Amino acid sequence: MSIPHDRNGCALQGATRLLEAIEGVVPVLHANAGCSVALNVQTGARSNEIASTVLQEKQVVFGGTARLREQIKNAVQVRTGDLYVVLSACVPEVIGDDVPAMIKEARDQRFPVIGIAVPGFRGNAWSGYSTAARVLLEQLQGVVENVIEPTEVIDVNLLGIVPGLDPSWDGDLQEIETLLAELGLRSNRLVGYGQGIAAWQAAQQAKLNVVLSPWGSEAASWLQDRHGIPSISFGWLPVGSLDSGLLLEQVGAALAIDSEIVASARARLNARLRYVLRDASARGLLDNLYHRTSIVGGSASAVGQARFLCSTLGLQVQQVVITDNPPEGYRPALVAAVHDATGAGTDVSFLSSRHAIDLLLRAGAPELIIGSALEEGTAQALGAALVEIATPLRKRPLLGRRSAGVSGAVTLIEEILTELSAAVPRSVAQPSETSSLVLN
Amino acid sequence: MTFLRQRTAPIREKRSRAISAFCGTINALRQEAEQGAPAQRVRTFAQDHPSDLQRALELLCSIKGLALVVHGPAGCAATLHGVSNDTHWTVTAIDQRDSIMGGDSKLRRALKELYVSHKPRAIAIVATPVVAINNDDIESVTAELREELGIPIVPVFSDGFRSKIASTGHDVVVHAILKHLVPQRPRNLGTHINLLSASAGSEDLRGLQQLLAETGIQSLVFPRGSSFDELERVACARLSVGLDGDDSDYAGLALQERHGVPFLNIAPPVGNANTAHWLKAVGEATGHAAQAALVAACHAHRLQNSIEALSAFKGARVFVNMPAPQSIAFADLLVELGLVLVGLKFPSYADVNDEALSQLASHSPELPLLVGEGQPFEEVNLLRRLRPNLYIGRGVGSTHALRLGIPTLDLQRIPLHGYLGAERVAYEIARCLSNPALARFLGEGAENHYSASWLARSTHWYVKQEVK
Repeated sequence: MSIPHDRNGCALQGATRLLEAIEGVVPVLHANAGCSVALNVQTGARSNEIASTVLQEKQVVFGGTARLREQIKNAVQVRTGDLYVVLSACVPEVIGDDVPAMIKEARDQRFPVIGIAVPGFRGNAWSGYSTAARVLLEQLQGVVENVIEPTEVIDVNLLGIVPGLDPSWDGDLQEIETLLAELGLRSNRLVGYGQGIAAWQAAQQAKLNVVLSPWGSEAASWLQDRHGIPSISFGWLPVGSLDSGLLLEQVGAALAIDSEIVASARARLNARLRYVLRDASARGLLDNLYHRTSIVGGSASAVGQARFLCSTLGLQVQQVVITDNPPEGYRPALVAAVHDATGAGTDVSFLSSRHAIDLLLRAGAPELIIGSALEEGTAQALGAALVEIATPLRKRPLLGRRSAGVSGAVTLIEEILTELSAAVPRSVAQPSETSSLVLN
Repeated sequence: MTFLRQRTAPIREKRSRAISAFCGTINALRQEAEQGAPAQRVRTFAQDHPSDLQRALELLCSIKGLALVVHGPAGCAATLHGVSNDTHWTVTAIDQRDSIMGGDSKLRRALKELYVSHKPRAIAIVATPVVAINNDDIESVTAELREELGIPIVPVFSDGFRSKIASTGHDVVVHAILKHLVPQRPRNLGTHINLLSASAGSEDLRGLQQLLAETGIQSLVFPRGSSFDELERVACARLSVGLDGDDSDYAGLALQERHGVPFLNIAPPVGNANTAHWLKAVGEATGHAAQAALVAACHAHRLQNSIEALSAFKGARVFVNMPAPQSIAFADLLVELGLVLVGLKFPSYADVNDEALSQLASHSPELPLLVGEGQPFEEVNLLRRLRPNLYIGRGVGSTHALRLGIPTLDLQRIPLHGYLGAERVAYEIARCLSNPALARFLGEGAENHYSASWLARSTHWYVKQEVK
């Protein structure tokens, strides 16, 4: 099945974005030229400094292992880093390069090198994150000297927020870290500012994994099997105070934290958001805020936003389109999480083709779309407001935006109000017979 | 036409003896060029850079009304998110099984679905590394669907590894367009000329077309941003004028050989003197010499204000990273503006630039020169020694320069050519130099990307002669 305007890229791209988000980790692509191109113009790195073997015809015909040997040896000399990770792409996998042999050879020379096979034809960028996170944890031991002090205890590993694909990944992880600090817990974000190899080593001594999307499960399962670290599958991004509180409750229960402490933290979150919303309401900003809404995005953010917008803000979330193609086994839980907040009438679909999404949205005729730049044409045609907050982004430069927690919810409301006031509604746009309107 | 009979365009390394790796002085390159052709070199450490596939995709989605099927794994189409709003495209998203068994049936289906959804005037099939290796039979799918759908289906044989020079992708696209979208027997001779460019910005091109219009010359741009109507007329132009040296060469020569359109490939109009020279040459070739001289005289004073605005920065040292023809011509603009060129970087270098390079080398033989697509690690090594006051690039990342505290100017969306270009560039340089706060702030952080041992080495350390 071909994918019109595919938004999910390939495994190599997801793996590259993950490694770029870890300080001291140097990705070394074993690929033809051009493979590191960023999927997301706004939040994917545009770096042109990624080491690559840039395979030429000669290597395609005669094999690229000698070129890889040379590239590893020189990458270690040119780039500063604690760990060098060879990511092998489609071409070496097709021509059958013996990459593991080259990694072993480099390791014999005491170079801190590991290898991850992420050919683009094996999965999308989200799955590339999933694979790379697990393999990185798996192979780290013995390659890099352990720099973690045994006394330095991390409580919670945060897994499943995907750098470069979840547009506000960095801010979201920081927000969740702040959130868990309400319970006095120390979080391990693993990626972003200040997160290096030490974080990945510390992950193996944590008390709990919190999995925030299907893409964090692979790494969490490994940590559970290998190190006995229990996991909670929260499953989506906590947006707003209700879901943030729910996360605190689940984490609190897993770590046997005094329920009084959890309850008081939840109350503080609700009070904070209520304060903002009451003030906004007093200024007349929240009048008539019950628009028909469709949400298009990755599992974590689309589900999290749907739950918040419906449960707290009272919008009529009628369609949720999950675009990151999560494995079948995870889908019922995602659908249930949406329906839990919105009622069973909300249509939850799993689509990644822009064309199919366009047809679906047109049938629903939303007044507000929370989606990506790819929904712009549809929004214009429908006269709907578009909040651009899913990959790929075009209009909105994101630097430190947060989608999670109370801060993320407040930002989202600001964006919705901005876009709603700018949109030119078309009175003719009404939902077609086929789509059901849900009133909550 | 010798080239167009082939399945796809020859690689730049063969067609114009282009090189993608060099590190030395411009005089050293000139000497190599004079002795035949510069040696083909490779890097033993390399950083990723665009391939012909990315360049082909960027160019293809500028063609108005052309829909694209990228035949390959989903990630191969990712470039399109950065460049296209309007083009309808789809990717066959071949999986592991297809990578072994072939993806012809997916390709066929993708084409049909794209056609049914959007009824485009033509569809290009863009090949990617995996299908190039597997030798998927794109040609027979093309022939079959052309018949069935009744629209032109254009196979574009990019592959990501045949050439080390990304701009080969422009030739691959030009080849496909001339073969499949430009009518074999064009209409009667038109009154317009072709402005050949694959990579100039739209505002830049509009400015040049305006300048030509003042001279009484109507023009259309090929292949960048062409419409189907323009593709109909490209073969009946009076003249083709290349704007990008080697990058315009393929289209110019093919149109000359196949359709008898004379081809003028001269130094691009960057800076006052070069623009006047360019205008004169185009005027003479089209019988508008007198008008061209008038227009040039009329605009000659335009740069004066800019020179004054830049007087506070007289003698500022500039490093330039642009395609070779633009970079070499830019050296003249810098002289006109009272600025000093201290180093050059070209993504590639081809024999069409020999004369211009030779001229520049006679003035400044020891000017440091890097040739290579991307490879900021070499630039960082060199820039640390050169310490320029400004880094000028066009569509290349420049974080590495900012990290060193060097202010940067990207000319991707700023007109460069013609009088307008000279004025705009001067204005932007003045703005950039007047407040280098961002570069200063970023430069105060330590350079921790590259090892101290690399930064202490010679810049050419990883550039080696290719062993055949």
